[in-house]
Amino acid sequence: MELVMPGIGVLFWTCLIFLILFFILKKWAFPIINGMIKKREEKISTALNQAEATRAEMQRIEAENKAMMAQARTEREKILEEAAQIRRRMEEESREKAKAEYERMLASAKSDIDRERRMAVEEIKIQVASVSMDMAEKILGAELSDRARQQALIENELKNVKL
Amino acid sequence: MRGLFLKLFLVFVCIGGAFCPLAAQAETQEASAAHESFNAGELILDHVTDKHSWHICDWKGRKIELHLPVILVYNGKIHAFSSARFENPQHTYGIFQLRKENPHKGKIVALETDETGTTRIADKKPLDFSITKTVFGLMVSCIIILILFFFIVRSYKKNEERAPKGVAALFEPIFLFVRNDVVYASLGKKQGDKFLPYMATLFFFILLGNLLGIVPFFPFGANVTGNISVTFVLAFLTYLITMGHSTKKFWAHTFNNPSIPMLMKFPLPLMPLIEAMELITKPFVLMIRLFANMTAGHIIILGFVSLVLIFGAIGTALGFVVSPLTVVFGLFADALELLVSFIQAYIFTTLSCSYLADALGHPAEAESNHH
Repeated sequence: MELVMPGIGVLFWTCLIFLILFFILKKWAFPIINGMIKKREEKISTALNQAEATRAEMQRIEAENKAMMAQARTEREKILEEAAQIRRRMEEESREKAKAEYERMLASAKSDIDRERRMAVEEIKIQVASVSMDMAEKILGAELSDRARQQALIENELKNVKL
Repeated sequence: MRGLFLKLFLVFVCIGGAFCPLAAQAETQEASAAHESFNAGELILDHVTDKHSWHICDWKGRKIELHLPVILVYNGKIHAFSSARFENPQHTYGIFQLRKENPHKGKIVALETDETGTTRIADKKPLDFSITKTVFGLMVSCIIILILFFFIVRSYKKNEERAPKGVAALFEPIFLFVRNDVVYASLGKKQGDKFLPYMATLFFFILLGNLLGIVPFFPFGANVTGNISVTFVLAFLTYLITMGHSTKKFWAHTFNNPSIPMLMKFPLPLMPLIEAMELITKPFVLMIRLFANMTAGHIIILGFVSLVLIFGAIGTALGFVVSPLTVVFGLFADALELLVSFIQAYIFTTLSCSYLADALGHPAEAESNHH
């Protein structure tokens, strides 16, 4: 029976000891422990939130970068295309210019040659006439003493000669 | 793996420790009382009940024990003396006697002489405020709790918001379990924070009391939480807190539950009576459950240990044969007690919380509905 009968002494001391323990822990230990745990929990949750936000930001930046890269690539292609066009046009122009120059030079050369030739022919004509006159003078001599008349005759004749 | 071996080793040491004083005592008992048969029941009851001195061990046929102070209030006067004063053939000191036989076995009584000159036990009993084995065990367990908390708090202060280390790392999961799964689960965060210090103190007080009760050597092994006075105080404090914070709704529900048909309340108030009885049975059950579980645990362990002594008393060889069985059973009982220590601490705290939640009108449910 003694086992199940509460005794006043143990009741009193248990009450006292437990309450002392309770007040010590309540005033001293639990505020510190619980405070630290709560602080840590808060810190962890804010750190997690921050990490989440950072990850979202990173994703956004990455997407932006990708878009920018794509834009830059198209831009580059456009520029290259344009450059190629310009090069082709310039080549065409220079070729045409060169051709025109060549043709111009050719034409001027031709006209020069023509003129030279005509001059040469005139010269030859004069020479031939002179030579012929000399020869004819020598051959005919006296026969053709009237030189002036003879000259007119030859000139007339020369006009009919076509070289 | 190494941790496991260490634990097993510790358990073996504990069990080994359990045998030493018992075996020594059995031997001296046999030596002193010639061929008196070994009484297991007496030994077990002797160990689970409260005493005025703490028997540590026997050394060379002499008892080594701690004589605890006796404090008596008798006729309005305080008498304080060491229980060593009772170490005489009559176990008397002044007018007080420590009874070694029935009636009042183990209690301190006052003696009086009547006209014929014969001494007899006075009808008036002295009030015994002695520091008994249980009270001393309580003090030891509270000092250990305070020492543990000293290191835990120091560790928290040093570590600040970083992960806990050392004792705090061991302590924190248990504390978080009590906080989140016991207190917050039934009381909600707001009310839970208010009652957390009490509930956590209750939990660690019971847990340490239970655990130290299994450790078989001095200054542990007192059947603290298996003492009905201790569990009475704990249950009563919970009851006081519960009643102190009870709401109008709680009382309306107790005496006039709207979900119960009128027929059950009128003309005979059957359900209100049952509900009112529940007010008393709840703390009563709380008290009995912890007491019975811890005492039963101690009885089982001591019973298994006594096996070897019972068989040893019949024949030494038989004692040797039974000893491995005792070790195995004792180990099993100790492991079971380890589990029960946690479970009972958990159950006591959980039920305290749930009774309190009843009285407060279930703040946790209100909180979860609100969100």
